Formats: sequence, structure tokens, C-alpha cells
Amino acid sequence: MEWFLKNTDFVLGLTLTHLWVSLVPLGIGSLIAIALARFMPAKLVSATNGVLGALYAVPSLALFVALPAILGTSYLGPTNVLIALTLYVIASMFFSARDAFAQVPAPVVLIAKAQGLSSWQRFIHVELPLAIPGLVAGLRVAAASTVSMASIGAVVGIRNLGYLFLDGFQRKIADEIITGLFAIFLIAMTFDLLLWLIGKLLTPWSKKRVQLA
Amino acid sequence: MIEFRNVSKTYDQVVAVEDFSLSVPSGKVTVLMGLSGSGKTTVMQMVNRLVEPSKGLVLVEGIDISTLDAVKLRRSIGYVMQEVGLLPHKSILDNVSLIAKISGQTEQEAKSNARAMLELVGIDESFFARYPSQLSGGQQQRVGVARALAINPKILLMDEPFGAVDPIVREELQDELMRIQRSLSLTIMFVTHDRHEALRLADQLVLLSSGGQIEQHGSPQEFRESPKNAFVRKLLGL
Repeated sequence: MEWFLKNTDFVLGLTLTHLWVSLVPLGIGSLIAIALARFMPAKLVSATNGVLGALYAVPSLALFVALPAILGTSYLGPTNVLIALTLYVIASMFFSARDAFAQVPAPVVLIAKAQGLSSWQRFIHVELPLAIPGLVAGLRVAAASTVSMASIGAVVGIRNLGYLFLDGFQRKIADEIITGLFAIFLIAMTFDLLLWLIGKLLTPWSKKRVQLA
Repeated sequence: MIEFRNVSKTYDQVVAVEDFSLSVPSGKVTVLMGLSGSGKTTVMQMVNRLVEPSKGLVLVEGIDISTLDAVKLRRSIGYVMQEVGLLPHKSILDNVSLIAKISGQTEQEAKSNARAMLELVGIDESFFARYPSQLSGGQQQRVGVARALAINPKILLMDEPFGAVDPIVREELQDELMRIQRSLSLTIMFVTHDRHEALRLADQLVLLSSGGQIEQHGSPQEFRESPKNAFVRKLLGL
């Protein structure tokens, strides 16, 4: 606690970096995952499943280090970490997004088509809103793992909360490590709570259903 | 008038409908009746191009509908089905006014028309702000009919619309449908496997065996007086 009070500004700076290093991949990754899940031609789905499944099995540190070799980016700096985390978000969200869209009731989609909603209008007015519970559930899982995985970025030069683990370990300052743990936990909990709240706000009809039953 | 000219539909070499021809007169109720697998729904869905025929033509008011834009065509034809398919995340009023809004009507126009249609099918104003899950099955189907009518269609396609409601409500809904059909002089194509419903509603009854083969067609009166064969007698309980 004493260590934290002496270093609040430092920890706050690391926290802000941690936030954007987590939020950018979450935002971009989930949009890509939703687009892939919904618009991927049926023929390519099993191939995509395989690629993303394999990708998810690659350890994050290995991916951070391998990306510069593949993409020609610099070894240090945030780009690799952002790309790697985005890939993980896509890999984890793709499956839940497919399930979310598969659970949209078929008659509702059929009648929307029969009424003359174009394919894009069906997506916006019918499929996307009805997939929200599943999408939010997937996003909550992705958010928790991204926030924790982002800390590994400290190893390749991103000064986020992960830095507190490295530095605390090297200099044997237990308080520093505990501060890092606590801050990451707090961010993950906040994300989870916010996503849960967004899910509730975007699905006001589901509450009424429960009340009726 | 809707005209089917020698239409066939084949799915992966399975024949759903073969060489089907029929005229559906304007302002009348044409009921397609048959067992499951008779192709009755397939035939009806060709009218709004949910199904594209593999062979043959469908004409609406003399126009080959394959030359029309499918989305625009569908917006001129009402569609009602057994599962209703109301959007669970939109209120009753929003469900009924959605298409009009998407087609470019103002919010006010679309909603006032939707209100009129809901009143026409007997849904009380107190339900307008509710979600579909808060309505009974019969009420939901009334909303389904109101939604189909909200685009002021000349043609209404109905796929076993009252199959999931109890017999008493079903009769009520049938009565109201007939009243609405007369007052708006709608052309209705109605698919059912319920013989009472078929005989009750039809101006023209079309009885299908497998693959969309027409066993007999004519007025219910003609069916009662001279059922063509044993299959027709059995299906209609005559």
C-alpha cells in the first residue's frame, strides 16, 4: 500500500496505457469477428474455424515475438501487441458470434425477408439486435482474457500494468506486484460490469419476458 | 390476378413441385390444401419470390415477377405465417410500422397507419407499447395480420396462419379475416391442412397431392357435390 501511495501517478499512467492497449484490440477485433461470423460464406467456415482455433493455441508471448518476423514491423513498440491481441479477440469472439447469430429465431428472419427487408436491413434491424445477448457474452470472455494478456506486452516494451510484474519481480518489491494484480483485476471487473450493463440496456425486452412468465 | 404457368421447383434433384399451373382470381380467397410434402407452401412462396421456380413463370397482374426487384415485390405483398415471427425486441406498434418506416414513410404516417391496422384486427390500444412476448398466441397472430396489412397490399399470402391457436380463437380469427378480406377486397392465397378451415374460407379450393399435383379445384360447393376421387373425399372428410 505504501509503495502504491508513493507511486500513484506512475501506476495511473501504466493503467491508462493498459486501458488503450486492451480497448483497441477489443473494439477492432470484435467488429471483425462479428463481420466474419455473419458474412463468411458457408464454404469457408470450417477452414476459418481451423485457422482461428490453431491461432488461439499459439502462446501470446510467442505471437508477440513472431509477428515482427511475419509482418516486418519493429520488434519493440505497441503495434505487434495490438495486432496479436486483436487476433486473439477475433479467435475467441468468432465462435461465440456464430452461435449468437445461429440462435436468432428462423421464423423472425424469414418474415423479415418476406416483408421486403433487404439483406443489410435484416442484419441491422433483426439479426444484430437479437444476437446481442450472445455477442455480449462472447465479448465479456474476450475482454477478461485481453486485459490479462495485455500485461505480457510489458515484456516486449509496452509500459502497461504488466511492467509492475517485471519490475517488482526483478527488484523484489511484493507491493508492486500486488498493485499490478489488483489494478488489472479492477480493470477486468470494470469491463465486465460495463459490458453486462450494456447488454441489459440493449435488451430491454428480455426482462419483460421474465416478468410475464 | 396471380398466374402460375407450368412452374416446377427442384431441390438437389428432389422434386417439390412439378408442372403446376393455376389462376388465382383477384379479390377472392384461394385455399391451397394438401398433406405435408404436397408443395403447397413452396407454391405460395413463389408469389413473393421466397422461392424461385426452377422452371415456368409466375405472373402478378400480367407481369412476370422474375423481372421485378424482389425486395420491392415483397413490400407490395402481405405475408402471414403460423410462427408469426414478430420481432421480440420491438413493441407491437413498432413491429407493425417497421416496413412503412423503412420504405420511407415518416414516423408519424407509419405509426398512425399501424394504429389503424391494429384496431382493424381488434388489438386494443393498451397493447401497442408492449413486447410480443406479453401477448397471447391469438393476439400475436392478430398483430401478424395487422403487420401484413400495414403496407396496404392487394395480395395477402397466408401460410397456415391459424394453425397454432386454439379452435375457438381460430374461428374468431377466420371470421375477422373474411370480414377484412371483403372490406379491403384482398386477393388471398391461404395454405392449410385443416379441412374445416379450407371449406370455410375458400372461394376457390385447390387440393394438392404430392409434388404440387392438383387433384381437384373449384368452389367448396363443387367439392361437396362432386368430389373427384377417393383421395379428395378422404382429405375433406366427405
